[in-house]
Parts: sequence; C-alpha cells; structure tokens
Amino acid sequence: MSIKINLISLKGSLLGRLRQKGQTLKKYLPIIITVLVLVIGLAIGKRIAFLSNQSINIPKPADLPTTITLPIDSSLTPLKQSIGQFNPQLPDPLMPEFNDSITLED
Amino acid sequence: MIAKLISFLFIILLSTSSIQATSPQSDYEYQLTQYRKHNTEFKVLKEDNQKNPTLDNQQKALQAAKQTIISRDTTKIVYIEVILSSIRSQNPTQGYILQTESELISAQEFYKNQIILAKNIVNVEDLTKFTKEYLATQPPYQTEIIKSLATNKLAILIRLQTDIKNAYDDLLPKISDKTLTPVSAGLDKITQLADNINNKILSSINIIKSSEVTTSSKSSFYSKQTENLSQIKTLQVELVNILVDLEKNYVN
Repeated sequence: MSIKINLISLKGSLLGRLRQKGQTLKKYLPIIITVLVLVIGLAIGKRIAFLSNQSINIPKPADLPTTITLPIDSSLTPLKQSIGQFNPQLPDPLMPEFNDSITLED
Repeated sequence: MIAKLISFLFIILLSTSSIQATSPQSDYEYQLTQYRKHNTEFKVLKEDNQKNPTLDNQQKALQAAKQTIISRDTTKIVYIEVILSSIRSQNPTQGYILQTESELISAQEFYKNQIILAKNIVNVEDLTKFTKEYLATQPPYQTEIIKSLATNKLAILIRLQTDIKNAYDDLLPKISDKTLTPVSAGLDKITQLADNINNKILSSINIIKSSEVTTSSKSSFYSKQTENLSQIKTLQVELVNILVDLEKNYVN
C-alpha cells in the first residue's frame, strides 16, 4: 500500500517537474525563436553578400558596348552649338488665328 | 485666434504664389487655352441666340462675346510679352531692335485699352461699334507683331555674331604665326564672311522696315525672312568652323 502510494507520488512529482520544465521552455521560447531567426538571417545575408561579391568579379565580354564621353575639343564648341540650335523658321512662336470680328450679327 | 489663422493662411498663399512664378511662354499657353474655350462657348451661344432670339439668349451671347474679347486681347498681350522677353534676353543695342521693343510695348497698350473698352459694352449696338473700330484701328499693331517675329530672330543672330567677334578677338593673339599660308587664308575668309553676314543682317533689317505686311501677305513675308535667316546662319556656321580649325591647328 505504501509502495503504491510512493509510486503514485513519484509519478506525480515527475509530471510536476516536466510541467515546470515545459513552462520554463514556454517562457524562453520567443527568445530562442528570435535568436534562431537572427542566426538564419545572418547566414542568408552572408551567402547573398558572397554571391554578389562574386558577380562583381565577372569579367565583361569583350564586345560589350561601353559609353564614351567625348571631350570638348574646342573652346568654340558651345558657340557652334548655339548657332546650330538657332531655328530660322517663322512664325515662332506660332501665332494663332484670332476671331477679331466678334458680333451677334452674321 | 481666427485672425492669426487667416494671416497664417494669407502668408502661405503669398509664398506659394511667389514660388509658382510663370514664364511668358507658359502664361501664353494658358491664356490661349482660355481664349479657345471662351470662343467656342461664344459661338454656341451666338447660334442659340440666332435660332431662338430671346432677351435671355441675347444677354448670354453678349456676355460670352465680352468674355471672348477680353480673353482674346489678354492672349495677344501675353503673346507680345513672349516676343519682348526673347528680344530683351539678347541685350540688344541696335536702334531698330530697340525701336521694335517700344513699338511692341505700344501694341500691348493698345490691347490693354481694348480690354477696358470691351468691359463697357452693355448692348448689341455697343458690341458692333466696338468690333468695327477694333478692325479699323488694329492693323498697324498687327503688322508690328508680324515684323517683330523676324526682328526677334535677327536679334538672336546679332547676339551670336557679337559672340563670334569676341571669340575671334580672343583667338587672334594666340595664333603664333599669322604669316603661314593657311592661317592668312583663314583670316581673310573670316573677314570676308563677317562682312557678308553684317551686310545680310543690315539688308534684312531694311527689308523688315520697309515691308508693308498685312495678315494676308504675312505667309510670303515669313518665308522670305526664313530664307534670309537661314542664309545668315549658314554663313555663321562656316565662320565658326574656320575659327575652330585655326584654334585646333595653329594655337600653341
């Protein structure tokens, strides 16, 4: 009878401990998840950085067109451009046809 | 509290209006849109009045006519302002161009007076009389506007010619050996082209001055002037090309 009681009390205490541990785990679970997310995020970030660094080192194909900035070859270039931009076309600005004969009669 | 709020709003309004300062060109585009809107409305109301001549329809058409006249002449004033601002930006000193400037100001005054007169129209007879006088007195101002478009282009070419002269004066002392055949030939050609350009500018001014342009003959005036302006431009390009060549090859 006493053994039976002891077993029951042992079982009860074990369950209690487990419950206690579960509660503790539940308490720290958000912290653990946060740390895990941070670690995984850092790992992914590191991988992306590695890959992007690698892509910079890819050599350009030889026939890839490159932008060439033409130097201003003469101090007279702006003047030459101003003359080139001059528009001799008349009328400028275009003059619209106005209704100058406003009456109520025909 | 309310007074403070109103003054605050007033300050905000003032500051935003000063930020949104418009150019003559955008002003002109806005006024032209307004004029076209008013003119379309007037045509509809005039037709309504002709189909169904009631006192109410007549008043509506009369009000629309007044609004169209005011809008039309405001557009003309702003159009002149576009030409004036372009001429002024060239800093002209030549007598004829300065004279054009003052004639354009007179034209603006004429249209301002027409707006004042239009505001006093109260009946159909007033409107008829106004339009009759308008058609009789407007032509000299219209001619001036047509001519000023060519003068404005000439003002730009004169300014460019002054810039070319300054570039030449700047370049000449830098040429080490002026006795070299290509250099002396280039300098001779420059003098010849400069004379040619000056003569063409002067003859263009004389043609513009003496032209009796009317609204019906304006197309031929424009095409003749466009041809003259193109020729001057071609000569200027040729002149600058020689200057560029001298600068590239004979300046140390």
